[in-house]
Amino acid sequence: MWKFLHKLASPPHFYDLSAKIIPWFSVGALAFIAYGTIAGLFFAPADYQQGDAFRIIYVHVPAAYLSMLAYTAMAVSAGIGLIWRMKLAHAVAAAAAPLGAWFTFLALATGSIWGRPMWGTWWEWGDPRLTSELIMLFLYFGYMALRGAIDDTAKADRASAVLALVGAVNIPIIHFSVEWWSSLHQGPTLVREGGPAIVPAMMYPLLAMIIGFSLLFAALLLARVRSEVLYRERRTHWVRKLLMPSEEST
Amino acid sequence: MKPRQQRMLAVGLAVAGLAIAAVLTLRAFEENLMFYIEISDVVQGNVPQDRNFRVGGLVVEDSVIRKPGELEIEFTVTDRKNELTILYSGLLPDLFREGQGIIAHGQLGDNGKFVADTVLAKHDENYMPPEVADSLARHVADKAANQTVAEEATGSAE
Amino acid sequence: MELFAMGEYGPFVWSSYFLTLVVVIVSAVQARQRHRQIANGIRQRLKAEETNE
Repeated sequence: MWKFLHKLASPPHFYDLSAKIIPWFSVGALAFIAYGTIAGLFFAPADYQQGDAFRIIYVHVPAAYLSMLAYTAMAVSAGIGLIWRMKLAHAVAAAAAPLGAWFTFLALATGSIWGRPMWGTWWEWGDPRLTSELIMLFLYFGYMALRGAIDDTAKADRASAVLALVGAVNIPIIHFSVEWWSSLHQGPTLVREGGPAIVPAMMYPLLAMIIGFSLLFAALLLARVRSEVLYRERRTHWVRKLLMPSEEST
Repeated sequence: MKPRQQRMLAVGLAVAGLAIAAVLTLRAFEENLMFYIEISDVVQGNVPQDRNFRVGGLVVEDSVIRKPGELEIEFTVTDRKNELTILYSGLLPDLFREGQGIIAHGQLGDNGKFVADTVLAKHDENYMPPEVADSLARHVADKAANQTVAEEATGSAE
Repeated sequence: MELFAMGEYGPFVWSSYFLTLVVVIVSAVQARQRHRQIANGIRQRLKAEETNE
């Protein structure tokens, strides 16, 4: 087990293995998202209160879920990198940030588009769910800016890891905000006491979208970690061998 | 202590410190930014002076009064204990209807009515097609009717 | 056609799906471009070192 993990964490091995995994994740993501989109847009029944506007749920919820998953992945990897001095973990944290920022933006934007016709506003200042999600977008920006500001990779890793861990307190706040405070945003639908509050015909496309987006995130994350690994190992023999094969043959 | 343990401790302390800072910030945030007042407090007059605040509740059935030819609308909200009348003129969200949860932003007028500048509609976490909602409502009504019948039956037996 | 009208909410529903498509494509293209940039950068440096030697 340890041997396997050690081998996985070795940069050249990770670089090879991830190249083989990414296509599988991508195909899986495409299949789930295609089913979820078609079933969600055209086959799920309209909601009793919101009519067809509720269909925004199929893009909004996966985006919001991924925005938090990406942050969790970033903070956990940063913590592992900080404590065990594992370089691959820092690479994962650095790769997760831009993806997390994109999905946070998407969650905020689709939420806003959904809020206009239903709640009656694009944005509500002071709503805890909306505000804490916006704070997360700024945390991602801050993390990327900090990394960009420090030239030395090892120093950038350490400084940005501290920021990522500090900002992790925001994750439970986002999740529980709708329960702790009176909020315009409604409570959780899928994961709640007494089971999901959504009929199966509406729920299956949503689950498919969540799985599809998670696979997509995994594929994009692996692709970005590969770039990070390549850059960090740019002076090593295996990268030279990989990028300049002609040199090796002579 | 080994260096790794030292690093672990440093990280742990940093996270704990920031968690405390965040909790304190959020407490302040809760008190200032939200300014959400329960209807019961509004009715008792416990409201901030010269400051807008939010109230929330369910729109009471048959309480919505629209004056013909005017945008102004008057309706009552309840928290199931107390009621508050709200005056508002402007566009209402699509989900605004009797029985719906709403949040209004504004000030308490001299006549004890809340003058809103914004009315937002909340929706709940339930998603279902109209047929399911109808049959669910019918079940609840049937159950309530059965209960009344049962209560009357036991009542007459006593 | 009625299928695409989404009640009266067509513009809201379709714009949010369109935005999602854009974000997915942009993030995928970005990831690919970054990989190419880094690989090209290293290749150039290695070539420069080769000619210097």
